Amino acid sequence: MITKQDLRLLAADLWEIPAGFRRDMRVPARIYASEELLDHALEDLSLQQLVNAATLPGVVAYTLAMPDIHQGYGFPVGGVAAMAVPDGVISPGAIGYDINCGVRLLAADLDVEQAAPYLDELADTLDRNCPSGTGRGGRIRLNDADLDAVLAEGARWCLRHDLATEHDLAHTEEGGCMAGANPARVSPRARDRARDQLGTLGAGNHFLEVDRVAQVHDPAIAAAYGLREGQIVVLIHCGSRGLGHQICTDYVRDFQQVVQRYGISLPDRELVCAPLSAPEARAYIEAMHCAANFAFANRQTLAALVRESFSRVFARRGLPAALRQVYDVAHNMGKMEEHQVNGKRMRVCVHRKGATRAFGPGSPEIPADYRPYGQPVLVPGSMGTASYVLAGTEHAMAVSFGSTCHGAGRMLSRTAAKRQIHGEQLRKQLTNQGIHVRAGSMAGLAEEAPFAYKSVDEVVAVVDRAGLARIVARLEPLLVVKG
Amino acid sequence: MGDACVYEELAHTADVGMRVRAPTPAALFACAARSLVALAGATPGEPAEQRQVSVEAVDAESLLVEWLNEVLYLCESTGAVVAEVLVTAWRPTNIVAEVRLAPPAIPPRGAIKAVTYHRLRLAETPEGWLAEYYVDV
Repeated sequence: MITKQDLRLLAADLWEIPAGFRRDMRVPARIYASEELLDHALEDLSLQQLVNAATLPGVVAYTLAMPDIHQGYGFPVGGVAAMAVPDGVISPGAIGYDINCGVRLLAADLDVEQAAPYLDELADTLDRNCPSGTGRGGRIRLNDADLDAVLAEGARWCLRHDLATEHDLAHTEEGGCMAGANPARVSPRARDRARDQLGTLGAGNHFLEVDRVAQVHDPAIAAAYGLREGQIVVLIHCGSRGLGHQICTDYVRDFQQVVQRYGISLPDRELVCAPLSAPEARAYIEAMHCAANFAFANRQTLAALVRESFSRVFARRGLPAALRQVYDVAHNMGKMEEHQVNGKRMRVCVHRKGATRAFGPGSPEIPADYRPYGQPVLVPGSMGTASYVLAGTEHAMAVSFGSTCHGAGRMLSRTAAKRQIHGEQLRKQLTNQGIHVRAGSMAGLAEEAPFAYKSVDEVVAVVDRAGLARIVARLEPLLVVKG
Repeated sequence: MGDACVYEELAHTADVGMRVRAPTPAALFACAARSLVALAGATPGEPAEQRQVSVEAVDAESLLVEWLNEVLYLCESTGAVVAEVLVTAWRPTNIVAEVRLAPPAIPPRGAIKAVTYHRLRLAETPEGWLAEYYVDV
């Protein structure tokens, strides 16, 4: 069990577990957290998992925990680790089962006063148009050729099918398409799970939200991102659905033998990995990129369905219905990137699980119109609280492999949340707060109760103070659709 | 303990697990499949279809994960719920079972992404066999 006595304070909101804490650690483990958030992190296995990640072959500098950290499987959610290329490893469990789970932000040219009378109708329309929950397939059934094309092209496939614009793609991480995706690396089982899931939200913590921009913190960056106070925006949070889950399952299973083959010993079987130079790693990366592309296409298709819904509700009343894409970020990914490590520029495989890329101003990976300001970072909070738009910083490039937090981070188990509130009771509470809720499952709604999460305000305050991202705007929910 | 199949939920910050008890390894694996259906919040209706399932793995713990992931896939790909399981052969690296599927009387309330190796436990105890597993939801 790790206690506060095992940590040393390096700077305000930055703690370290030295590499000498356990004999098998190759690098220290660092945690960005306030005292209060650190106390939460010490309540579960988060920091033990962060220490376990520090034992992986080829890990460089330090493993990192963001302030929204909580325990995951093998690798903590809110964790970042960079592995040297080609001497390090890649670990599917350190990327997660929901490969390229991420968030998309769309902005309307519509104010909250204009939208308010129609929010109930909009909630029904979005709930009808955007399938959510278990066992609810989408409108699109992909044949083999189309599925291959989605896996290889990501959101670019949507452009060819009138579900996207060039602007959307330019304002999506990686342009909505990871290069080098190879559908031949995806099992028939994973393909089966994908066929009717394009354009579906799924269940769990995934959602579609209509928010208002409640407060602009950085007017210059907000203007560059096209955001202003009182504006209506849409957040879409989902990932690669059954396809991504199956790909991770397949490779975690296969890598159980791979670690034996390469003589890698691990403190946790969920951390199984393959040397980046090995053919097994190449196979996983090519499959993982397919899942990432499916997720980009999934959020893009959902964006098209949201646009259709806005058009149906607002256009016929002569109100502006267009939705411009602000950005789309991934928060469960493994990426080959170049970073400064111990004074040397080096190529690393950055594992971000429940952590968001937050590249600073001037980064060539950022769309030209945002480049002077840093990459938009989208941080959804819990239902009924708030979400944030942040901007990546140069400091993040220097100290966190260009990474920051991804959400509020859970602190209460689903079982405990359900014990404290019933779904219907929560729905009434949210309605009383003026939030329109459409949920497929009342038990699922209760599991996602706001009190099960840490304070998103506190989480983003830490990353802002630590320089891992800059707060641009605060969003507050008006309407939530969940599975 | 007889043929008892006993399971209880285990808390996890973000997800959830199950502790399962049964008198024999074969009964434990059948019971674990039932616990997974319960975890998803589903209730089977009248059994309509039977499938023979065979799973192999490198060791007994992996076999439990692979077996449960197989059950998960069967349910997701057919839209059905596992109603009954008869394990016809069990070795630490191989299981063969007859699985009866039924349309859900109550559909799953939430999606289970995968069964994981997190804090996975499979052991013989003085009271019988015990397994603990966690799922990503």
